Amino acid sequence: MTSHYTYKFCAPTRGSFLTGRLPYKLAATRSNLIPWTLPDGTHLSYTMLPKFLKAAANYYSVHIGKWHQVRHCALKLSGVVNASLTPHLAVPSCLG
Amino acid sequence: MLWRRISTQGLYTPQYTPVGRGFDEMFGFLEGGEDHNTSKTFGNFCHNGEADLSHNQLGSDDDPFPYTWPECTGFAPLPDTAVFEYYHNPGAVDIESYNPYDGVFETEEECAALCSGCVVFLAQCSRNQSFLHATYIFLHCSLAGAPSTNAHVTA
Repeated sequence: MTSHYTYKFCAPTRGSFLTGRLPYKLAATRSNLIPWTLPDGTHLSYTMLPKFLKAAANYYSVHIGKWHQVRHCALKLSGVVNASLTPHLAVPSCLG
Repeated sequence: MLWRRISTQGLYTPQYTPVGRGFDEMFGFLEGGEDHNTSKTFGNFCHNGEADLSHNQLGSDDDPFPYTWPECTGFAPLPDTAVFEYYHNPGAVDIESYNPYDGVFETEEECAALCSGCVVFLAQCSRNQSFLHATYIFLHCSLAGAPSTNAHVTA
């Protein structure tokens, strides 16, 4: 074996690497998109690598670059949690 | 049950950000793609022109809302390119308006009905989200009728 891929899309691949979980455990495997209509993501009960590193040897960890384990728009709408319940209302707000 | 799930899960709280996940520091972008000249999102559902460049933001549930997102300035997108059109042509629309549930822009006619000068449309648009990702396309129209260049964006 000269190479290995956890998944065919980037977001679940990162999620898999960061959690040690198989990609199919991660909601984002349905596509690389994390749909704003679906309140899914890598579940918070799945601890990601930096917390283990911190606990093991107090590593200082830095994330640089792309994340895409989160929806930017949804974050900005987070003050209105109901937005996730009414995506068709929420998205126009997101689209400005 | 749905409400319980949404209220405890989801991608809309600081807990889901890199710092929330345990990184001591982060510098990057939260979305699936950004223009490295402008640090603005593209290829996602966000409003075009929205900056997505963060440094240690959203680290706590106690952070005030709305969060502030730093805006990169001083960029100079190349005229006549898709990105330039995307950000600077007020008449430009893009396939971000398409979503797999509503099916906006299912046909070129629908696009043409929105504005004149549609220059590209992927006939194979379907409700398959994987397709939507794989062929993320800026669908440019121009109200002024000026042609614009399409940009293919994949991740």
